[in-house]
Amino acid sequence: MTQVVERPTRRGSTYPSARRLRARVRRQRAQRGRSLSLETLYVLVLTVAMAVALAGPRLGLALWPAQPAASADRVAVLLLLAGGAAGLVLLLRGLGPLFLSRDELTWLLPAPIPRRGLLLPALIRALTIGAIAGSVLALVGAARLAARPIAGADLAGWLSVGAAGGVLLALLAVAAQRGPGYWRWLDGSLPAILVVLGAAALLARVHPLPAPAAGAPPPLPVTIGVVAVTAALTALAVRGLARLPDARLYEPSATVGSYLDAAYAVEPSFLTDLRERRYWRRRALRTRPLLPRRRWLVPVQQDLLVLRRRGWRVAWLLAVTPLPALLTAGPRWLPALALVVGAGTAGGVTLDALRRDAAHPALLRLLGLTGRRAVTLRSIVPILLATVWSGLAVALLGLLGGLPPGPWWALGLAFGPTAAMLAVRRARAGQIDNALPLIDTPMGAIAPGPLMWLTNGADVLLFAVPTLFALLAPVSPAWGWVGAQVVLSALALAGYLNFGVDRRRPQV
Amino acid sequence: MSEIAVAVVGLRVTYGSLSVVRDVDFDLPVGGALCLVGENGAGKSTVLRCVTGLVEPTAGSVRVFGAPPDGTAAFWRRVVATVEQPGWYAGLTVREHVELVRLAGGGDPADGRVYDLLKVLGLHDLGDGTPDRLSSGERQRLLLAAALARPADLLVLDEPEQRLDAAIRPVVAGLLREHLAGGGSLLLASHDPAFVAVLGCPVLKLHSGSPLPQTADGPAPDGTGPVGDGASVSGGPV
Repeated sequence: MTQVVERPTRRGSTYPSARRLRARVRRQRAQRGRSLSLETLYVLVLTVAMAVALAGPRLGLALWPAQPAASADRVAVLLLLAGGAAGLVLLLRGLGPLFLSRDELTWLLPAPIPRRGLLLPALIRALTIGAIAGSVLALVGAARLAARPIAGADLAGWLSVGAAGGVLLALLAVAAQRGPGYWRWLDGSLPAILVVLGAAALLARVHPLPAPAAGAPPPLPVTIGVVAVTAALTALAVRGLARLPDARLYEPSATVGSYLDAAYAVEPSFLTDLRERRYWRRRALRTRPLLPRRRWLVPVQQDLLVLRRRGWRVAWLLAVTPLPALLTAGPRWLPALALVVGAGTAGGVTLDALRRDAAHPALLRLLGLTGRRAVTLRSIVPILLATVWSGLAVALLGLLGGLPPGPWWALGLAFGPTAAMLAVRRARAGQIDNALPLIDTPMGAIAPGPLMWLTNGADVLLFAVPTLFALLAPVSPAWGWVGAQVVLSALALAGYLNFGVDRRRPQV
Repeated sequence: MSEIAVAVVGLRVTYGSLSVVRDVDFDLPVGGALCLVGENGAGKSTVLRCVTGLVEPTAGSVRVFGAPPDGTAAFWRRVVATVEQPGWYAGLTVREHVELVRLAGGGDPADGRVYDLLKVLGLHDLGDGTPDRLSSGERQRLLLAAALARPADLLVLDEPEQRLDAAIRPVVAGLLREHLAGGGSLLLASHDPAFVAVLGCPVLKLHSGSPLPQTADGPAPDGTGPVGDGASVSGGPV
């Protein structure tokens, strides 16, 4: 009889390369049928063509304006470039930057095949992202800081240095993935760097900083030197791939897989859940006692506990209160949008509990709370947070944003509860309803589910008309405006808590 | 005549053309216990969901403490159910979850009851962990701890023994017996004859959605235990 079970592994066995296995999978998939149908290809090409036609000229002008930046704005350009570089490293760290697809994670990572070949495509992908982002930053910088006209060779020099710089940043992120303990400072300091850059940009608006002179192109030896160093470090990184522990690949691969799931299923709530899980997984908690005399405040006690544990999140939110003031240099709607998003985000710090109650009401039933009571009590901390945030942000807007004088701080405080209601509505939105019937339009049928999910809660902004109008016009808000905003916020709260939630059953 | 905790008459649940529960009748008196047994897909969980008002019957009636299960907060203050997996609160520890339920249920979280529960269910050393980090068996223990941390007139448990190791099952059975001894009622579904035997409660065997007919001298021949005092059951034809 033939032996079914293979003999134990023998030493000296030869194993196929990852490249060979991937080629085999590709071949077998191709035999089953083309993964990219002509129809999909047509839609893709059409989408790209439309995007280029619609956004191309504007994007081109943003990348390469007709004139370089005025000397007063050069500091802001430098700060923007530095922020872009820090953001690139943050993005790469968020991706891993080395990750495998789910099928490769399951089938190839546990296989006894050479690691270098397995991870080389992932490294190439990370370095390509770095090179492209670095080139774009260099292009943006050269267009604004370099003396015009710029010769082709000089531009090539800028782009080469930018691409090499981007690759170096990607290599830094790869090194951080290999030794997260050693590189933890990188993850901790990057948001701080972004905040410092933002504060410097804000300072530059109030107190002009010395402007750098128009930049000369990088000398050829410097360009060659940077590219050579980058090549050498890349070679070292390729060599080090064999030593990358498998454990460091699992979480980034699962995260990127979830991102792709969310994109494929058009379900952003997956991402919120994933982010929450990742946040709390890294934290060591210690049980805190609840106050027995405050039984009726159980959800508030829980929210305060979570708030205490999310101290850093609150600190970051406070640090970005100048953001709407910073954005007054752009279109008028931008500070108003930043205010709504910022106050809503501040209000949402403790709303994960409500999100979970909405998705799985089993715990709410165990607690025996009606939907109305749960939502009312769980709105208290968000209202406080959103009110403080919007009060500070609008006060700074009034001081630094070039707005007409008036009691802006009071208007910001009055707007807070409305922003909190927006956050509460968003938390209860749950998953996108894909069961809704399609709507026929001249451009083809569209699914209303994602649109309704995106705009869920936006109607609350009708109760923020005094604040938004004062910012968009802009006009000086008298105390009457503040009074009107207080009344509207109170109406939004009372109306929602009376008519928008279940009064009898434990469901939100 | 004793007061009835759960009265189910002619219960029928149909999903499309699939009949999941057919002609199930039983009465569970206050302070009594009843265990639903049967193979996968026999309709045990659906019956429990009907009793807790989470599924609406196609036909028949369900009354819990004399009223339909309306799913109001007042209903859930008397009934505790583990018929679905909860989503745990992010940022709260294992112990804090149990204390939260105890406090919301009118108890004192610091009176030692939570400590005892976590201790006997083997969760004491995991009290500062988060539910996301627990194994599936430990999460089941946590769910039971939360369910038992507050007073309940009726416990509705769907396979409380599932994913538990052999050592902890008798402990859980002991806790449920304590609940019964305190005057509470218990309705559960189970796949483990040994667990049901330790619990010593009457059984109602379901088969493809309907109860098996009773033999002259005992329950259906499933070997899970006798139909004894505490519940009266009857069923239609298979």
